[in-house]
Amino acid sequence: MFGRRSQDDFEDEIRSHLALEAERLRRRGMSPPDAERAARRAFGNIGVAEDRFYQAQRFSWLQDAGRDVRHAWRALRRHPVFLLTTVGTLALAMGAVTGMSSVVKAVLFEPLPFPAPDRLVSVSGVSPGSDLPERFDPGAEFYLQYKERSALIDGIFTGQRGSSTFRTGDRVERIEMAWPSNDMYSTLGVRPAIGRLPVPEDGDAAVLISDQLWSSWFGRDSSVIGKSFFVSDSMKQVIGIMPPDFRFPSDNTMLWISGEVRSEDIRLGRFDRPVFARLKAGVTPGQLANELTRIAREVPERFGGTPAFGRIVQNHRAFVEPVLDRMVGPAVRTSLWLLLGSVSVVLLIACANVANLFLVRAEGRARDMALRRAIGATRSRLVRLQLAESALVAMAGGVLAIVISRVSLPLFLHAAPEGIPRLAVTGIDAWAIITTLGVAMLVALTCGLVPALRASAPDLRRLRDGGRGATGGRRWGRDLLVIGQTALALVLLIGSALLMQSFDRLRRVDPGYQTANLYTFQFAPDQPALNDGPARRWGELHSNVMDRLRALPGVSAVGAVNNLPLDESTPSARVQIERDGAEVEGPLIKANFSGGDYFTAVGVELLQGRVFTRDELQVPHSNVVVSRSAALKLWPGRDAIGQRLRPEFDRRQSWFTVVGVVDDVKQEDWRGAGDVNVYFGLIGSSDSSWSMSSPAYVVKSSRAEALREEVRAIVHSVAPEAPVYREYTLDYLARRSMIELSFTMLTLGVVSALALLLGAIGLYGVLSYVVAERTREIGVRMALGATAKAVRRQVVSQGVRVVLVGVAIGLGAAASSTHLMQALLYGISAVDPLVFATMAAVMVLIGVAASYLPARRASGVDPMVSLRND
Amino acid sequence: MPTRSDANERDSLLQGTLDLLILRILELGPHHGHGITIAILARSGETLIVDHGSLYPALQRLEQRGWIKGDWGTSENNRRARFYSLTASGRRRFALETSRWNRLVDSIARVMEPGPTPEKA
Repeated sequence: MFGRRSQDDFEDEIRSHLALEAERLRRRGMSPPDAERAARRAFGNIGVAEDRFYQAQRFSWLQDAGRDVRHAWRALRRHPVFLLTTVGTLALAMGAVTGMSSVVKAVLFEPLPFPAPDRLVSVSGVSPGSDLPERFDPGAEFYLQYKERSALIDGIFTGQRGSSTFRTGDRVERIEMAWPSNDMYSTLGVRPAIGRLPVPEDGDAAVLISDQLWSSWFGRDSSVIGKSFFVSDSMKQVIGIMPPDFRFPSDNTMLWISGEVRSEDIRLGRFDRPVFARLKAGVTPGQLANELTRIAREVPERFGGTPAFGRIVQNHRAFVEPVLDRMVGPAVRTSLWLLLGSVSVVLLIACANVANLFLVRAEGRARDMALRRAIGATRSRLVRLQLAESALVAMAGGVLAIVISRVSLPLFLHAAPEGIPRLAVTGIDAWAIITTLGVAMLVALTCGLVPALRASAPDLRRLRDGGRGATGGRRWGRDLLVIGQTALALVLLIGSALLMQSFDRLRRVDPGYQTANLYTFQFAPDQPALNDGPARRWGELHSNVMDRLRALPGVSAVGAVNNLPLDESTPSARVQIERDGAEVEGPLIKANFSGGDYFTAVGVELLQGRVFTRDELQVPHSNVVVSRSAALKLWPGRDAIGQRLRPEFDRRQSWFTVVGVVDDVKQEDWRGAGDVNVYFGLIGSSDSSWSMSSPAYVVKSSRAEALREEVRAIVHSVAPEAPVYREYTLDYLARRSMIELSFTMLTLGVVSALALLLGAIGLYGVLSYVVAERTREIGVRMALGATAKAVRRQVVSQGVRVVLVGVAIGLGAAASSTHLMQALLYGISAVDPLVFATMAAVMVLIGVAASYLPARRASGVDPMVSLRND
Repeated sequence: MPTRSDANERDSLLQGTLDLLILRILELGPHHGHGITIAILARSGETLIVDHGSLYPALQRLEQRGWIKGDWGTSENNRRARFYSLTASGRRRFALETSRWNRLVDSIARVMEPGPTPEKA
């Protein structure tokens, strides 16, 4: 066929026409300038001709779009309220989605900064039926077995993390550090920026420091390499500085101490070492898990161990997952997805609202559209014009959303709980901006297409009856939007109500101890000075500190413990127990070390026997106190007092005698059952690394909040250079242990409130419009004798009918989706009937409220006015 | 709103008529846009002045429907101009439109004739 003509070609033709006409006029005797002017005048409006040409030709998509947008902008500018509402709604919802998706991307998807990070995996174990946790770390014996026997890996390492003392000259602080095996560097594929990697000859006497530590403590002075500093418990030499982006295992790790796992140091069955490996190219995690499970079975054969250990190994399966999954636990993962999901739902609701507004607007312009079509505008042109309007609104919303997310993300990150890893790298990047604008385009299409098609449909009846006859089909579209909004809002509402219920129940859980009026702190004494007869020196130091604390005004009890409940995780230990005179393998216990009036201070009830005496704090002894659960599990059906146990961690392998039974406490987690707690005396064991290093002191005082300076002074007088750290109230620790849940709950609460509000506005908007549309009909009915009450009831019931359908759908959707948040729930079913019923009732109430205002307006219609109304 | 519909019909009547006039002029031979207006003016005894603003859209419409085709050429006084000519289907269309037009004129003329309305046949 023939090709499209260009605008230029057409303009040429007009120019030629004007020239010919001017020439004709000149021939008739006109002066050339007059002739040109007359020709132009005779032609009429050139712009109109061009415009018509353009309409018929659609030669250039871009120029076309430009015109459409200009036209749309003029149309929108005339309705500032409409513009503000739609742009604002979309900007808020999209801003929330942009922010949340940036967080999700940074935390869950940003690859670790190592070569081929997708091949890095974490290895843990599962052993159903054993007393180990559901997912446990392998022990050093497994690490060695894997390292030497696995054919599917390109490297493997193990390590531990924690905090310890670092001292340079007069500066002493407690900092986070890690004790990886030396093969961490080759496995991860990292090298120090300056210096060298550790070698076996270094033993544990070499450290690499982080770029951050190098900056803040050494002013980036390279001469630090080769110097020795006091680290952890001895002098160690700095051999290298890691690059700035190396943050493993956590963002705050400042030091990596050299070391290797030697088979002669291994004590079996501790299950306390995370293991990380690099898969060979092409190997799947599943293949490695199978291989590791198989070769782990050979561990007892190679290293020996008790029968119980052998049983655990035979039943165990290696669990291999990406390192990233291991770093971000299931609760954080669930929370983040939940939040992203719910802001997306709010975006859907916002879209429905905006689409609704566009529909209503399109109805209002139906006559205009019909007229344009009648005089020859093509349907596609009208659709494009409408789409240009929604695109303009969506893009403005998108741009504003980026601004909003940029401003609000730092606030969100600030409020987020500490424990979320990788949050530090979150930001609104090009990816987020492109996605937001992409989403905006999608929103424009969804919000604009239906109203556009509908409004441009050839419907000349609208010309005839003056645009009044809204048909049932059109109202259905809006009803569907309201149903969708109601359903989505209800799902969010139920989700956040479930979280709130969980939170409430968790808060009511009796942890078995008091958190009120308790101040806690730790300090790291100068350990080399204690090398001479450590246990006794430690005992004296502890007693000294506690005596002084007790002497503070208002202090009623002072104690110490190695791990505070609900704080850092408590070490597990294997024990042998004496039962009816025979020595048997005991279960895994939580090893606590306590001293002073620990039980009194935190309010743990003594059920039987006695707690430690003052003397037992100062000298090594062989008594233990056990929790009720421990007594039941270790010596079922027997009196625990006087029974004996022998912990594997004790180098002397001595027996400890139970002198008391105390009530259970929630040691690890609010959600957990009673832990199998065994309390050794702070100076009970010969293993200094566990029992004596630097316990948490607890001070019971009505002035708990204000003790900081006094405590610091006391520590300073006893151990002048010891850094004091982890200074909290126990209330704070308890709150912090729930912060993940409360943070998620709060955010979800805000989000669902927003959803509810938008849903109500949507319903209100639709009903208002319906009422306005039917003013005439309502007027007629009232003129014929319908009462105001009947009219009101009819309008409200119309709204409520729609809401009820939405509620039914929402209940179904919630029932099939709330199990996704199971990891965050406590003490409540994901389909709790009471929560479902209450929230459905709330939704219906909101529906009634949103219907009532339009209903009142309807009943106020003056029959005469409405009949004259056009 | 009766006035709007009226405007609409007047518009379409005009459009249809203009199309017929253009086809008629081109039936006599190729012309450029300016030439068509002059020809219509001359043949109508200087009564029908074609609105130039609607001439070109009409030409474009006819071209799009394949009834006429336009080619750039040189005018009698050596100007570059776009010459339009009838295509085969344009010729057929013209014949059709002409007979329609004649029927219409004939019927309108009968209605306008003086005298009473004849009994129903």
